[in-house]
Amino acid sequence: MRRHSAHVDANVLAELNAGLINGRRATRIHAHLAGCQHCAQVSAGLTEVHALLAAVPRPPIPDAVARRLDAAIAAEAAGRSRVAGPGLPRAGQKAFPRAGSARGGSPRFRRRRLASPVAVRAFAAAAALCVVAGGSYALVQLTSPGQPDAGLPSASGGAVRQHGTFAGPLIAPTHSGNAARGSTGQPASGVVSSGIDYQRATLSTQVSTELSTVGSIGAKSVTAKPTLHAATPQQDACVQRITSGVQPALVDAARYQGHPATIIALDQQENQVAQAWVVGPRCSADVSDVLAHVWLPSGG
Amino acid sequence: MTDRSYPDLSDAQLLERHLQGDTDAFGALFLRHRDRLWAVALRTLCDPEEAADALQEAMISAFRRAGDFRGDSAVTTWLHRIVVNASLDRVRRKTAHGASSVGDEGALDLLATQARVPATIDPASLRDTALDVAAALRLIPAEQRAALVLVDMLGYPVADAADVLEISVGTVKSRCARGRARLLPHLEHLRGGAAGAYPGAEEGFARNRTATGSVSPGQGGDG
Repeated sequence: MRRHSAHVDANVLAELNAGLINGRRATRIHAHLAGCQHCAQVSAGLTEVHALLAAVPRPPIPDAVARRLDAAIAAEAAGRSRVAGPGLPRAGQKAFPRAGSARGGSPRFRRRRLASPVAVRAFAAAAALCVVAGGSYALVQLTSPGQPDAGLPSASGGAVRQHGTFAGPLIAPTHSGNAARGSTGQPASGVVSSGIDYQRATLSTQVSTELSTVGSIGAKSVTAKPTLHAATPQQDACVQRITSGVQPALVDAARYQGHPATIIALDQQENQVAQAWVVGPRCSADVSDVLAHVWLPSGG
Repeated sequence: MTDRSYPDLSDAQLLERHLQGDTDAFGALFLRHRDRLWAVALRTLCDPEEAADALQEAMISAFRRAGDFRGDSAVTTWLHRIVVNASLDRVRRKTAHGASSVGDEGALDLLATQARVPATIDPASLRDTALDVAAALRLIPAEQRAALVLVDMLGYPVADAADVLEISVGTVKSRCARGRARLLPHLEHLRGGAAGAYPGAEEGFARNRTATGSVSPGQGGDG
């Protein structure tokens, strides 16, 4: 905090949101945030920046680039089979001085523009978009996000505010925000086994629904409630690694595409964006084994 | 292409096959991860031609250095690391030649500090959102951009991003935090535009085992 300003530096707020500030300093900043609308809005804006970044779809590799890389790799493979010797450059050494430098049968694309006018135009568009290359795909993804579903529970709704469900030994919250909202009741660590076979095509919807269901535990919901059981040490370590210490809203030892997998989800909070990871059985303190990831609808 | 995609082999098995002389194995590995690798290069460099060059340089390097892979990280982490390093090398070379578009750091910090509190605005079209995000990303240091690309855009766990970038988890968090603060004043006008507008599930992080379904790079699932 600055003496000459009534407000907290945005960098400090960002670090607070990221869990990098703890203890009394965090308490002081939280106290300031409670009474300063400006800083509270800046803090919320920082989370929205993350949300905006997450909303930009991953650009698929352009066909021309994929063909170029395929050709380069094929040329390497052909060269290796001819030479049949090591001759490999050491780590850190450039594979070649410039992409497409002279080497037998190597890349057809030297340091030059893509071959066809269409490709040139595509690249020009990509240059303009930078992160949205492959505009048609991006547009489709941007304009049909998450299949808005009237029945889709909002991850930001009250139904998912059951962090106490997973508090306790499963995760020790490190984010001050999480600590503030986390339960102190220390119930049994929570891993559910919903029995759901999550599918790639419906992952977002399935996780959002499950978040809502889990959130209803302890309430009067008549929906089938998953069974809570204690996390194994490996599950604890895995979740810790995946969420970087943030308390998850859901840990579901279930299936994905027919195979055993664990779904780990964060719900939307003032300092975090809702998302879920699907991890395989090898997930531990040292290996993530992430099979899939999805950003979850914020519900507005 | 599909006849050499080796759907039954894990990433590590593919790399092993490559080392044993299978001429198709590395291509299959690239096919499996190319969209994510492309996204990392493109978003880090903000220039598709530079990204294509960096990706090619990185893949040829990985092809030749496969024997260096010791299995202490996932194959996909290793590949991403090579691509990120190739991309950051290019950024640094451009910077050294005075071609950086990165603004004055002090001025940007000031902008971040003096972030305006926005009025409620109509959500911009999401296409415009992507364009504006792209433009804003150019304005932050490449190291922060790389961290944000991995964590905030591609959804990597912070621990994985730390492995890729070969820095500590705390440093990843710090770079992401500072990057968000720097981006905030440039994206204020878009606030509210991202609600519920996320692309679908993305696979292809790792293939430590097989038969988790067809990984179709570039195909979002839920959207």
